[in-house]
Amino acid sequence: MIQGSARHSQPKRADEKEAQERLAAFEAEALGYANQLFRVALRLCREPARAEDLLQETYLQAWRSFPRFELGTNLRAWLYKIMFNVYYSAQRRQQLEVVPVEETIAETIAYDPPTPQHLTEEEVLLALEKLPRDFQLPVVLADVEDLSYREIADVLAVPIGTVMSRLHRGRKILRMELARYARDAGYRIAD
Amino acid sequence: MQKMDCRSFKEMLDSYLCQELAVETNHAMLHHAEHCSSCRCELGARRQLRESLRRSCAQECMSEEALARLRARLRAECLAECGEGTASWTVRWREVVKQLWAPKVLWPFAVTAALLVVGLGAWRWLLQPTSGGQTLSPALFDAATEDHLSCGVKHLNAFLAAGPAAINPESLGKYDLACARLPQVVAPDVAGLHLCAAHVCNAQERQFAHLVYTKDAQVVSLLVTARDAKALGLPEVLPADADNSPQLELNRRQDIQLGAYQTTKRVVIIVSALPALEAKMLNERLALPVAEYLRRSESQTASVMIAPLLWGDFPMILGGGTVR
Ligand SMILES: [Zn+2]
Ligand SMILES: [Zn+2]
Repeated sequence: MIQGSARHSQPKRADEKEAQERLAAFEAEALGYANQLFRVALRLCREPARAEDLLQETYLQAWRSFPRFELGTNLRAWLYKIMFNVYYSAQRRQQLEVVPVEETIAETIAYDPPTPQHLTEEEVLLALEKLPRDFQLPVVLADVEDLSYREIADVLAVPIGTVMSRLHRGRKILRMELARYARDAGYRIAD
Repeated sequence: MQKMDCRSFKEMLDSYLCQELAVETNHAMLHHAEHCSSCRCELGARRQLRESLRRSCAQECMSEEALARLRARLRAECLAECGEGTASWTVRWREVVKQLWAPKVLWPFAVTAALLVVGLGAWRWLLQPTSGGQTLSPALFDAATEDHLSCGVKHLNAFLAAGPAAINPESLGKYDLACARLPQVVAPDVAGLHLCAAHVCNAQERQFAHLVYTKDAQVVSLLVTARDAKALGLPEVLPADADNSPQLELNRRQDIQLGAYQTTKRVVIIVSALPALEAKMLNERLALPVAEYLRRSESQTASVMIAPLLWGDFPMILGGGTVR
């Protein structure tokens, strides 16, 4: 019923083979980080389906700009940067908003309690979820995903000083929250 | 060596654990910890916290399916770059289809219902004009209805008889690339839909990319075809309104509900005998995302792949070869 067309089958086989090889290389290098990116995407999007979309978009863009990736720089940080770019351009926001409540939160936690020990993973996760997102993201990027402060500043498109103050406050809030759980549970608090 | 008190030790402790401190400060930190048991204890506690933070976050994982979809999409992009899909597409498709495949018990009812509709025979169409834009020709809706009723049901039967194997991977590989990605555009669980066949087929001298779904034991056809002059019922193709989001055009043939969206180069039609409310939902949740996706891909891939569509040369895009 359908007639094949000669015009149609004029692809450049060599190009295709080359592209497939490039893809294989890209996959080998970059796909290993998919889980880590997905975790952060989940924090950004809240819903797994949207996080998956974000991840797909991120990897597509990464694939397209992979030829421009500078060898020797941190591929993972580069992927995160693309992901936040994609996310914020979709959100029509350039960077993390400075939340007005930021200062007040910091004010209330001048006291820094000792870090409790013997916490369950559920408690830690719960406390992390309670962090306002502008603090949560730097904390996750630094303490879970192991990005350097410089890389986080680059990824979030904020000055490094802002990253450091958000990390400082974020970690403090996290510890406060955990100290509260520990107190409630009657755990021994290290002194 | 730098002076270090307990307060600054605790302030810098996290940066120490992140290896963000200068070498001298590191020494000062270690030196202080050696002589201060309280700070040593805090160091241990924060290290523990850091580890349990990592462990608890590591629990959140991407599903295997999501990873497979990501790979499939990258592969699609890669192949799109070199101009056309090849046999490897077949393999990808098979994977995707496998993911979407979920057996249902109510098949016989679906077939009976669908056959009944076929039996009703000659359908008089009733055109419901939409506001603005160009309306599609009644002949296009006729062709879509016929394809849905004959091909859709046929594939459902084949599907019932042979299961997932009824999907012909060879014909799948011959989609144009934009169409080949459709199962990824439609989330597998959207509105309880399950894909049971995907191929290229003809009805009334029109060629469709045909995705046969089932929903609540009913057949649902998602059809994509060229937005050519014949589809519009005009002597020549007029440019589509590319600025606004695609407009829905409704139509029906007796029990059959049709919803259509036009993109610049294509028409997306959804056909089912579902109740009006559900059909409406499918328009919005299945056809519209597909139309928007195609519109995006049309604006991205521009001339190379899509241009011939304007001349009604759909077979060329879809890859030629045999049908069904
Ligand atoms: Zn001390
Ligand atoms: Zn068909």
